[in-house]
Amino acid sequence: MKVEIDREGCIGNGNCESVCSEVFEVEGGKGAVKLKEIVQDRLSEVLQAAQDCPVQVITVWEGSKRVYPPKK
Amino acid sequence: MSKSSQVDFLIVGGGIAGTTAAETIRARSERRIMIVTDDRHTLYSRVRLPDYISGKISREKVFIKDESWYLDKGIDLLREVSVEALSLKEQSAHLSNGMTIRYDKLLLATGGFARRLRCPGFELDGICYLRTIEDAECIQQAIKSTKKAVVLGGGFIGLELARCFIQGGLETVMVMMEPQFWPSALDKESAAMIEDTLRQKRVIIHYSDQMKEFWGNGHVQRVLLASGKSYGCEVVGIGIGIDTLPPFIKTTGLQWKRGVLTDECLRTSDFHVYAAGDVAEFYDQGNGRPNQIGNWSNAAEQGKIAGSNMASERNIFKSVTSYVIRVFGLSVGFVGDTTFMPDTQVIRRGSATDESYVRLFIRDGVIKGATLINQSHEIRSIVELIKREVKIEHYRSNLSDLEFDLESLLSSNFQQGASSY
Repeated sequence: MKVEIDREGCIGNGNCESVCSEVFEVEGGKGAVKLKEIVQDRLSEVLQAAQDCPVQVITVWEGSKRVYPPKK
Repeated sequence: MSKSSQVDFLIVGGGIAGTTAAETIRARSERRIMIVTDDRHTLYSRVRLPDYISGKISREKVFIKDESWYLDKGIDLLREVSVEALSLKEQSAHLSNGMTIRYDKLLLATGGFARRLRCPGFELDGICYLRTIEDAECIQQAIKSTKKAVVLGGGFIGLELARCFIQGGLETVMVMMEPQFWPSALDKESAAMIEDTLRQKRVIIHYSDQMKEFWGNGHVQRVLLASGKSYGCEVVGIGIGIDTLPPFIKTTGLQWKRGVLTDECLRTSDFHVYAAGDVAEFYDQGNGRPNQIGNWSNAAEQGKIAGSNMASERNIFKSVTSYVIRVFGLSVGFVGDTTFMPDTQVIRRGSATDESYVRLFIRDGVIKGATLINQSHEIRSIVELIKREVKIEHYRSNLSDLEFDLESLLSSNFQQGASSY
């Protein structure tokens, strides 16, 4: 699983870090993803962070499939 | 420093709008930049204050820039100093420390000030606001070993305060003047979903009511509402909006209404003066009228646009603002312009029963805004639909179906279909 943050739109409120500090961190007012590849066990936490992001800047991929925002 | 000084770029306000503007200018120009702020701190994140209050993060983590950043960038930061008067003719600002600063370009990024309640007893300890790091520390102190809280205000700050209190284990009463949550944007059904979520947390809610008096001996012990209801409490959190016009602006000759009026490039009625962030009442090209937005991402974006324009570019501010607030299990999202005008039509997607409920605000055949309950994953598609002004006239029935994928309206095939319909 891969996670991206649109740093341009990120306001660094740190919700993602609160939900899953193993994957997300906020430094200098912007969120960042700490790991290039994330183990599947973290999926539910990562999805929670993406859903709760106040400015919706987190995208989650499983391989080439975008899982958040869900692609129909 | 001498009593009089000359800079190329003077920025009034050291918050996210002012600091982003300074950073943007520095990336384009080597000329002299000065930030004047009445704050004693370097830039910190207001949006992280709730996590600081709850103890999730340290004080250090709240700060975005430290002193070395300003030094490295060659940006003069004058703290705990305010502007007392502005002369547009002289292109100069007179400061509270006695200095006069002449400028080539000036940015007003003075932010907002939590509106204060002045009813009897307002000076008692335990009455808190949520705007500054000092406010956050006041709340931290006030909720220690207390059991009962009252929140005044039902907007973003009121709900953040309620969340801080509830998470701290306090019995919480919310009081708001409005007859429901966000009456200007939400319908009764959406607002009731917020109410139900809070009631499940045992929050007592009073609508169409207001604070009449605070009682206590040094520290607040009880509040009396206009309706006659009274509650015992040890802490009161107030979130009743912000004021955005510092007194010195009103006498400058700049045009202002609720905020400082600007054009679409954030330039004010004076050629050398710009405004950005909460204080700017900018010409909103997308909606054809002045608009003022008080949130963090808007302030950052406007800082960027104003900064680049001060450095001789010509960029138009055209952002579609969006924000999601979490009310415990519920997510409440706002996108774009949710003002209800006479010609606004609303398309409903889902309902309270579905536990997912979106309202799309339509004008002139395009989406202008939306409110979303538990559907925040659709925000990005809606923002794009607004930005691209996608004509939705022939897809009304599709749009009202929660299963219909909004993103499909953005694909080229669908749009070709739309244009040849």
